[in-house]
Amino acid sequence: MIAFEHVHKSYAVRRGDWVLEDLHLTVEPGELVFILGHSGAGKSTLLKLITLEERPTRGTVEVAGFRSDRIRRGEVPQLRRRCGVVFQDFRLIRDKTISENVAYCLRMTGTLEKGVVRRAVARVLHSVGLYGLRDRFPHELSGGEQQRAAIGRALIHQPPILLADEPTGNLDTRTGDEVMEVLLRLHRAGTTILVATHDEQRAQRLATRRLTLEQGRVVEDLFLRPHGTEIY
Amino acid sequence: MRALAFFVQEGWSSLRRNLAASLAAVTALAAVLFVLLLLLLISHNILFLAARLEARKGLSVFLDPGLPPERVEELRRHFTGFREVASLRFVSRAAALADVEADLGTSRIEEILGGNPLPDTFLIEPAPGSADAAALERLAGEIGAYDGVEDVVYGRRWVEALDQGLRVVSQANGLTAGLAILAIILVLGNTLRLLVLMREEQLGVMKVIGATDAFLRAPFITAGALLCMLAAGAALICLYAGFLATRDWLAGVRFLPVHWLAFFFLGVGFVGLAGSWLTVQATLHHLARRGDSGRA
Ligand SMILES: Nc1ncnc2c1ncn2[C@@H]1O[C@H](COP(=O)(O)OP(=O)(O)OP(=O)(O)O)[C@@H](O)[C@H]1O
Ligand SMILES: [Mg+2]
Repeated sequence: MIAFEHVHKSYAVRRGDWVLEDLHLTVEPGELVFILGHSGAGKSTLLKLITLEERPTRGTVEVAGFRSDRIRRGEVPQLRRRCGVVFQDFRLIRDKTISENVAYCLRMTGTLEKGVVRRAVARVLHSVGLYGLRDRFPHELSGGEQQRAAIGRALIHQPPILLADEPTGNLDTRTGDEVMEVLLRLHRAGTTILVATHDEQRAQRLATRRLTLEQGRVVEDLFLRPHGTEIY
Repeated sequence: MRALAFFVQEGWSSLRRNLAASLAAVTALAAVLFVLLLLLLISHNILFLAARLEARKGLSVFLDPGLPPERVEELRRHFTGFREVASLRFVSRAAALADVEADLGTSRIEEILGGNPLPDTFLIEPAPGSADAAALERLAGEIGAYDGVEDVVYGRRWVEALDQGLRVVSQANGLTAGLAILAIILVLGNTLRLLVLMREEQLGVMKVIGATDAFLRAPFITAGALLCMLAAGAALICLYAGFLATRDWLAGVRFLPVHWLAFFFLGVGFVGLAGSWLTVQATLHHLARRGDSGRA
């Protein structure tokens, strides 16, 4: 599903200041991978390489059949639509309501029929528990609610891959648990999920695989349980 | 179709959220387009007049006001004897006024001008061999030399004068059209750049989520086209209102025909789309380059 082949990434003009160094790993469909590491270890960068928001400086990333070194410009949106992205800072569109935010993302993929859009949005908002707040604007929601709205937006077009950057970072334990519950449900439905987080306890409890980065290098890659097994 | 409706809706809401800038843009564009329409209106009327005068081949011999009937009769007999004159018809001032009023579709010329400005006139049809410009000019000169003849005009001279006017107006037209295009591009450029920059963050997010460039661009381009259409509509309404208000004084002025208007709207729409496309393209490129040159 996702393969990093000796990926090096540097933001500097001068090479050698690697943010990620020789990343070499494969993520199979259905895995629930937690990426751990200190601040600045390169977790967000790893996720950005998957959507090609950043390009590898060296090596290649392959996602859903698209290779970073061969992909054509016009194919990049196709690749990105295979990935639902939940940003650490939500990045909801400020002047659209929650349901418009979610709907916009579905229309983007070419689904424009009103009835279809409305039903899909209702289904997703129910699944993240925000249906009752669908007509509010982002600033009228709590952090946890915004986080779930962002997840709803990432899911609306049913991507096979979900990338979540610190999805519980700003949340208290209870709302964090609610968000995790949503991710687990997706995991059970077969979605491949990568979560960047500082939350070691949740990683230990929920992940099928735990990847630890330290200064851009993988220092531990641990398979905790075979994916496909359920946890409760 | 559904996509178009969606983009129009998005574009419209974008404009509404920036009401002040949008109104300013529409006003500026409407002013330029109004001038363009006004010049088109003038061209149209000159062309129309020229076509009608061209149909009038003969000479009009205007007689001095208050010329005694005996002298009129004398001249009439004299001119009829000319070899170059095939036929001659006398039109009294009253009859001439009635003619003009019928032509222009009004009956108030005397009231408006405070009297009948037209003189008694001989309408001369030249003989077949003497209808070319040189012969007519010679004949006009000859007849004009007679006592009691105030002026001799022939249709072609009118046509030439009108041709001159037409050339001037069409140059003004070309210039205004060029200015209008420039104005559209500048105004749209500024307005749309503002709209795009206000949505910079959103555009970045949409792009990372997988929106195609076309999908990101379309709402702004429709917004630009909407601005142009609103401005063109406003300009047209102003012109028509002005036309209705002054119709009594500008008797005989015709409004622009539908196919000219259709052409005008198509032109404005095309320039609007092209201008919007260019601006949005340039602004998005600028944003992408500033964001990160390495990004897709
Ligand atoms: N656009 C950028 N330009 C230059 N340097 C960057 C850029 N983005 C990230 N970096 C650097 O790359 C390193 C890794 O950043 P990254 O965001 O991947 O860390 P992270 O593991 O997600 O950290 P955190 O837990 O704080 O989110 C950091 O040292 C950061 O300063
Ligand atoms: Mg990060």
